Amino acid sequence: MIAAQLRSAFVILLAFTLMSATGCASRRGVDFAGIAEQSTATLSDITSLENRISESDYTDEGKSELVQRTTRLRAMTLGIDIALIAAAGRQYDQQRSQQINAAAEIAHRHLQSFINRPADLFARSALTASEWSAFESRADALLMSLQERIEQ
Amino acid sequence: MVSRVVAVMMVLLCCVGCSQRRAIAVNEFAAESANTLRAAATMEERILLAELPAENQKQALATTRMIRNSVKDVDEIIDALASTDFDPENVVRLESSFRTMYRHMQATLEQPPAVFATRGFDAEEFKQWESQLDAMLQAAKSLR
Repeated sequence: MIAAQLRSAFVILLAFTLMSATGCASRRGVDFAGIAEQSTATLSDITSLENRISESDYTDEGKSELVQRTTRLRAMTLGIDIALIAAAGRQYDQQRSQQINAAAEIAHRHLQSFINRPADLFARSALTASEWSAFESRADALLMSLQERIEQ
Repeated sequence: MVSRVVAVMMVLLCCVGCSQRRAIAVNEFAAESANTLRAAATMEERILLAELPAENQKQALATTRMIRNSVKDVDEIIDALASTDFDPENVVRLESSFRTMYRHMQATLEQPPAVFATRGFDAEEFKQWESQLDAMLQAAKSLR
């Protein structure tokens, strides 16, 4: 009798463990450590670009205009991080968490590709009103896409 | 009988596990705060060594002072929350906010001094910092 009861207790325990394990596996949080690395990399790329601008032979006025752009790039990076804070601590289904991670990575990749160029090429795009405006629109769209995925 | 007791115990254990509350990782943030203040001191040394126009030097030192104030604000928020236990979602959200702030402050303090010196208080990034600090403060107050 006791053996039968112990056996059924063991079965319940096993079932419970399996259910918990399945539940944990199917829901997960956003990969904050990975995205924080991306954010740090983007900020570090901005610093490198600022070093290149600083060492270039642009006039003080030209440098100042470029620094306004890099400051805006820092603000965009902070914007991505602040958007992600809304997702902190939440559990999403696997597909959604992958979508959020992907959106954040795409946004960082997009920023990094704009930043990681020789100072001259960056200046040409950053100081041309139409190109800069097109870049800002794309960056805003990526941020909105990230926010939508987090809030859905 | 035994199986029922085991089942009830498992459910109770699970409930306790799910709602486990904890305090903020204060030690981690004390280290981040110290690192940020060290980075501010290093930037101040670089500003003084760089041959900057007097007005730019003054502006740059005012900016490091502003960052030091932001560090103090974050430290005070953390200090006020140190003995409070939060549910898992809220504690992760608060910690993410603090990490984000420290990371961005440290990154800004790594800029070349000449670039750092040309930044103004009206820069969008600083406005975002201030609004994020306000948001953190409000969130912390509402969660206590």
